[in-house]
Amino acid sequence: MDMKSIYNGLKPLRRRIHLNNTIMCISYSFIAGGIVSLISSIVALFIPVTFLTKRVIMIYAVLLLCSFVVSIFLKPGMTKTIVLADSLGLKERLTTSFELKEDSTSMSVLQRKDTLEVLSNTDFKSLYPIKVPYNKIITGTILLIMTLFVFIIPTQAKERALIEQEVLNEAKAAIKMIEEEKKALNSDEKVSKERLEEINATIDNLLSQLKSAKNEEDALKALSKAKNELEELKKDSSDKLQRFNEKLMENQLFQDAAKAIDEGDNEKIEREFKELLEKIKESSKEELENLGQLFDEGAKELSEHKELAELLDELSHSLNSDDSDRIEMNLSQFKDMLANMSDGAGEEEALAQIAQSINNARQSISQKSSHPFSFSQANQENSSTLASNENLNNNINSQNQENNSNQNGNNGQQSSGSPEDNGQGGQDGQGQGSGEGQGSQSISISSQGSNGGGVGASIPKESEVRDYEEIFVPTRIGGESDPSQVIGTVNETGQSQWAEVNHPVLGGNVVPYNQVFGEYKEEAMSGIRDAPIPPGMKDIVRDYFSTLE
Amino acid sequence: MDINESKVKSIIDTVTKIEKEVSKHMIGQKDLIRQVLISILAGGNVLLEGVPGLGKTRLVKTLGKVMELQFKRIQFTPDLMPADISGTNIITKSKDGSGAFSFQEGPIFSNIVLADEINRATPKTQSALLEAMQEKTVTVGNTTYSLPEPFFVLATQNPLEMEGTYPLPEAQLDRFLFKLNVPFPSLEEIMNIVSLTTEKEEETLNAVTKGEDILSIRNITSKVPVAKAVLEFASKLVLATHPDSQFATSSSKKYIRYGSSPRGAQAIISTAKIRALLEGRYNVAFEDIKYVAYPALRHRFFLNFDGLSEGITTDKMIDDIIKELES
Repeated sequence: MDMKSIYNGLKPLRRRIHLNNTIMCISYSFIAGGIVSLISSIVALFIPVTFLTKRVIMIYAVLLLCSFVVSIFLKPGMTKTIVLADSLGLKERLTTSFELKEDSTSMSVLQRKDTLEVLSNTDFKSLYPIKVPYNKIITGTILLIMTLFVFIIPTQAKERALIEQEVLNEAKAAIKMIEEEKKALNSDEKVSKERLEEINATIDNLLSQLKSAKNEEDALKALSKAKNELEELKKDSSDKLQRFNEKLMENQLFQDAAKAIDEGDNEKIEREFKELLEKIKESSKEELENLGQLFDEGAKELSEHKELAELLDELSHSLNSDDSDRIEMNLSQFKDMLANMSDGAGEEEALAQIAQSINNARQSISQKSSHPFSFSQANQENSSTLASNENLNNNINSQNQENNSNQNGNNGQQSSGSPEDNGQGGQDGQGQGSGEGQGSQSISISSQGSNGGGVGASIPKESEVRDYEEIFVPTRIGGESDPSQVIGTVNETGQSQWAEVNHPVLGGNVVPYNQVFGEYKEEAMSGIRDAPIPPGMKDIVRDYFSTLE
Repeated sequence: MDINESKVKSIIDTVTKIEKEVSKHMIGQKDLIRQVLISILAGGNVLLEGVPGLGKTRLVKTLGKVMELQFKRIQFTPDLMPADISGTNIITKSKDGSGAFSFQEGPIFSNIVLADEINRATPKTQSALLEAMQEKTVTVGNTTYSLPEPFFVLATQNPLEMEGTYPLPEAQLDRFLFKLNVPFPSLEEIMNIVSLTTEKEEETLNAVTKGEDILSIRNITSKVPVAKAVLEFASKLVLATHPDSQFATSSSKKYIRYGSSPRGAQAIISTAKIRALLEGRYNVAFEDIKYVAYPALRHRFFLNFDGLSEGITTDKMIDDIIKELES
């Protein structure tokens, strides 16, 4: 009589114990899920909790899964089964048999035989039924119903959570879009490796910030920062090209061709390049050497534009070689490449696309957070960025006229000229008046000027005008029944009057902005964090400081 | 010794037959009969406690007849001397006229000795039983005499008439394997008793076993295995009667003066083995331990003043201890 037969006889009981353990484990996890969900939903009444439904489903799913996993390990051991079987009426027969399994005395053999006989006559189905824990199931169901009930109670926190939820969805979409753009950029062979690494690092940083964003505050902050960084990258690249173009313009041989490139007129470029080729053929060796040196310097400076750098290098060598065919071929390639670049291909296009994605995301997030200001702000930036990316050559040395208008008071002051003046205009402008300024600056730079803020914003060209939304909707502030109040009085003509300090600070001194920037920024950030300011307005403040950085 | 199913069955049959025969002269008291039999098969002495007229002496007499064992009765009285139990050396004359001491066996030299109202004798006389009960020998003078096998002392005591009695010393109580409380019969049992003794002629008893069979049964039952958990339970049970033990329960700490000796655990296991076999099992179960714990332990630990004044009984204490150990 071996123990194997006894173990086999115990198998049905072992399975039943395991099944009961599993049921018990699941029912406990059901209750635990109910408790956690109920607590979460109650918390969500007062604190915005995003994706609450998903979270609750997740809690239940995770706990259920855990209970299944745990129940795998709840298969009873043989010892436990034996003890339970003994307690079910086998009266320590199994325990004794188990202990005497190695014993072969006649009494032990008799004992095992008796055990097997009793075991085979034992009906475990009736002695150990499958227990459905109704009490626990009812408790879990009650908790679930309570959770669902709490779900339908509307609170401000829930509305806020809903908005945040949409914002995060938008951020996710933006992440996806940016990642796609990044992929496209990485597959572009025209961009140099170093440049790619730099861009990738910036984008990765942006993505990590965006991914860790928990609300619209974080998302908008990350997007604002990313936008500025991308613009910095782009600007850096554009500046170098611009400088190179300026140098070309200074060269007598290349002057006309450079202007044509700058104007972006393809026919003119074609014509000017033909003329340039003729001029090169007629020019002295010294002139060619000068031009070659210019190209050589350009190649070094524009190393991030791998192909362009290589071509410039080749052009420099060909100019020194007196091989007119080679010069012609290289010039032709140079022309084509510039034309391509002007069409927005390669890095700039990808960066523009990413910037576009960022702006779209900002716009959507602002919309979701239900603030008209932020939407228009995002839109405005969007359009300016788009404009700035329309044509690379247009960005270089474009002539821009700006009108600074200021209608804040009776005594207007004009401010004109540079973008810095624009920014200043906002601070200084008083009264009524308009100014006109001419300057040599790119559109993107002028856009930054407008970002600098102030009332004296530049009026964009017709081509730059997009569908701007109204910036200020009085009825939206506080609602119609609760009009907003401003300090001041209404005069006879119906215009508001208010006093403003318009004299130098007495007893004070002028401090460079970078000394107080940090403190001001901290103060402002603390203000937008604590004060009940609409998210869109916060966006403006954040942008302002981001730009200054 | 080879043990097989038929041998075990024959043990069960023998015990069943004994019980059947005894029940011819004993109405009711089935549990008492079973416990006395268990004790006899385990080779232990039994202290029967109960008011007069419950058939204690009758039970012992009947058992002697049914088991075909030599039976002697000693009525304990205050003037009973130890020599009256064990026997004494007397001067006898030989054929040649010379005198010599020869040992005259006392009533102790028997298989079953009924020590009736044992608590009426003086401690000195009671002590005369100690050696016989434990060692199964009697020493008179310089000579030790072995008692016949099997040997059991079945003592009775009356709990009511305490005046002029000498409570058994703890050392002697410990020598009894079981202390059995003889319960008062039920209405139906009394009616049957009256009917049996006054109307009918008593049935003749048949001897169903012999002394040798008892020894053989004892040998087989000792081989019944005990699981470690069961042995541990029995040991804890004994330790729990000690108020200073780590297994002492709250009630034992409160009400027990001192606990059972290891003989208590021995008594539990040896009798539980027999009980298991008589139940048709080849192993000792917890329920066997619980069954024998009361008669095996109730006379082995002693309550303190608090326990006595609150009317706590040793059975109640055992009950509490078992419940606490099981939980």
